[in-house]
Order: sequence, then structure tokens, then C-alpha cells
Amino acid sequence: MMKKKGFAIVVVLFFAFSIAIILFFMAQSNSNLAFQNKQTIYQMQAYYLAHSAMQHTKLQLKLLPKETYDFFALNGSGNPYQSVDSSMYPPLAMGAFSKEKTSYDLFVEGKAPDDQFPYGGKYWVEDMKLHGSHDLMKMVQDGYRIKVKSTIDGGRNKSFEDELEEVVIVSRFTGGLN
Amino acid sequence: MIKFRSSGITFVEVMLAFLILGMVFLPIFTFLTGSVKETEKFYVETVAISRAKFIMDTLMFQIPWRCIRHGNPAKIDDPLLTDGVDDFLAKAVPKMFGDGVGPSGGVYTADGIFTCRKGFKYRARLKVVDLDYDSTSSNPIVFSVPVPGKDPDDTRFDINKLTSKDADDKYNLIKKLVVQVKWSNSKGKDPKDDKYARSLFLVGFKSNLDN
Repeated sequence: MMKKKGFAIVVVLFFAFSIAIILFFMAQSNSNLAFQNKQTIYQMQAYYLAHSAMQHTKLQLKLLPKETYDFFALNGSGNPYQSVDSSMYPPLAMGAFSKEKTSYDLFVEGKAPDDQFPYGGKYWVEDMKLHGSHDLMKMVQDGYRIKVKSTIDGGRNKSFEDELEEVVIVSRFTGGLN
Repeated sequence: MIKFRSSGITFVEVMLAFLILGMVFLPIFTFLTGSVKETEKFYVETVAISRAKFIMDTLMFQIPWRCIRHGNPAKIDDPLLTDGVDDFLAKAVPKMFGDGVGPSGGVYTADGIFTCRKGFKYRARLKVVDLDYDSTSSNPIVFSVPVPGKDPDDTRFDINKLTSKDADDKYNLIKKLVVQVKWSNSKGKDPKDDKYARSLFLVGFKSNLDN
């Protein structure tokens, strides 16, 4: 006949182990949620800065289409849009993260001055190439491959980078974008 | 004389078993309650993230540049009074910011309050800064392309050399947008009245690509 002594401890250990496993996975699932939410926020912040860069680039292309074409036609080297860099202009320069940024609040008077930002970051044009020109018909158009980058700085371990690449077609003499 | 067998479970043993079970389950239930609350907090944060994204997407990619006007809170209206744009703003702005956006005299205020399905309250606000830093400014925003063989000054332009004045009588081509969504983790509480209210921010620069 089998001895039943010590059976209780097996049951208790099994029970305790099961509970520990459940609690462990619940705690892990919650910390995953917190991490993902944070990552989503930083990712979004970098994403909108990258789109800001692309809009800024398109604006310059719209305003200076002939000059941009001339740069490539006259064998200019490097990146012609180095001036599209948010850190070069104080009104656009978000700077690095600082403690003052943590108190930024649109709902409290005086806590959101015009020259301040709630987090740090920058955007710039990483690369620009003349993709092709179309000047056989009346409408003279140039296509450019544009690559922009952005980075945000929300403090220690709170940074994120993003990049966008687009082909933009512009009318060389009217600045009309397609 | 009757003899009782000592096997079986006494009342005291049963009570003791319950006590031990209770002591084991108490921290478990505490943990579970805390966990449910945490999950709810993440849900609330997710709603705020999703709303902030919706607001910024609409501002950056859908609402015309001219309609987003300087201020904290910003004003939203169409200075050209285009029917289609007015109809779009009438539908979009309350969906973006919630209640309390107006319109008042055809102008919307980008500051509203909304409640999620679980009953948590959120406030959303937009601040817009006109970056009209032209040649009269000490920090002008310039547009330039270094054309080989040309004097750099000939291909460097201040804003006022490139555009006419906008509806606000400014030489301006880029607007700074800051969106804040603020929420309270206490159900039904206005984040304005909660000193532990949480916030998230999104910043974007919208260039005038309208024309």
C-alpha cells in the first residue's frame, strides 16, 4: 500500500508555484503595457518632427525650385538643404531635454512661453538627390529624392529617432508640388 | 466506557485552515486589485495617446495652414470663409478637442474636454506660435540653397522676400503647434482639478504648403 505521508506538501508547493506563475505573468504584462505606451509616445513625437522636416523641405523646394535645380545642374556636391535644420534657428530649436521642460503646461498661465518646448529634439535633411527631370514638354518638372531625420530627447532613456524618405516632384519655374 | 477515535478534522483545524488560506489570498487579491487599477491607468493613457495622435494628424495633414491661428488656446477658423473648409471644421474640431470649442462668431477655440467610455475625463488644448521671424528679427528663419558659382547672399532669402503677409498681417511660413492632452486617473474628475493629473505633449511645425 502506498504511503500518504508528505502528500500535503506536494499539493501546497504545486498550488504556491501556480499562483507565483500567474502573478509573475500579470506583473510582466503590466510592465510591458507601460513600456509600450511610453515607446508609442516617443515614437509619435519623433514621427511628427520627421513630418515637420518633410514639410519644411517641401516648402523650401516650393519657394526655391530653380535654385535647387541649379545646385545639381552645376554639379554642386553634398546636401543642398543643410539649411533645413531645426537646430539652426532659435524659434525652431527645441534643444536638449532640461528640467524646466518637465513643468511645461499649456493649461497653467506662464508655464508655456512661446520660445519653450515640452521636450527636446531636432530635425534635419539627411540627404537630397535629383531623381530626374522632365523638360520635353511645356511643364518643366524635377523629381527629388528627399530623406529627412528627426530625434527627440525626453530625458534619460527617453529618446527616439525617426526618418522619412519621399520622392517629390516640383515644377521648376512655378514651384508647384506634386 | 465509550472511546472516541482521534481521527477527523476538528473545528479549530478548519478555522486554522481558513485563516492560513485567507493569509495567502489577501496579498494575492491586493495584487490583483492593484493590477486591475494599473491596467485601467494604461487604458486611460492609451485613450490620451490616441486622441493626441488624432488631433496632430488632423492639424498636420488635413486642416489648411491658414485656418490654424496663433494663441494659447489657438483659434481655428477659415479667414477665406470657404464653404467646404467651414463644413470640415464644424465636424472635425469638436471631434478633436471635445466639448467647449464653440464656435463663437465662426471661430473655434482649440481647448475642450471629453470623457472616455469608462468615465475618465480628459482636456485637450492646442497652442500655436506664428514663426514670423523675418529680416526684421534678430533670429530670422531663412531659406537658402548654395548654388555653385553664385554669391551665397544671392541665394539666401528672408521670409518677407518670399511671401506676402498672411491673414494675421504677418510674414509667416511656418507655425509651431503644441498639443497637450491632460487627464486624471480618478474616474469622473476634471484633470484641471487634479494635482496628480498626467499629460502628454506632441510638437509639430506646419509649413505653408496650401497654395
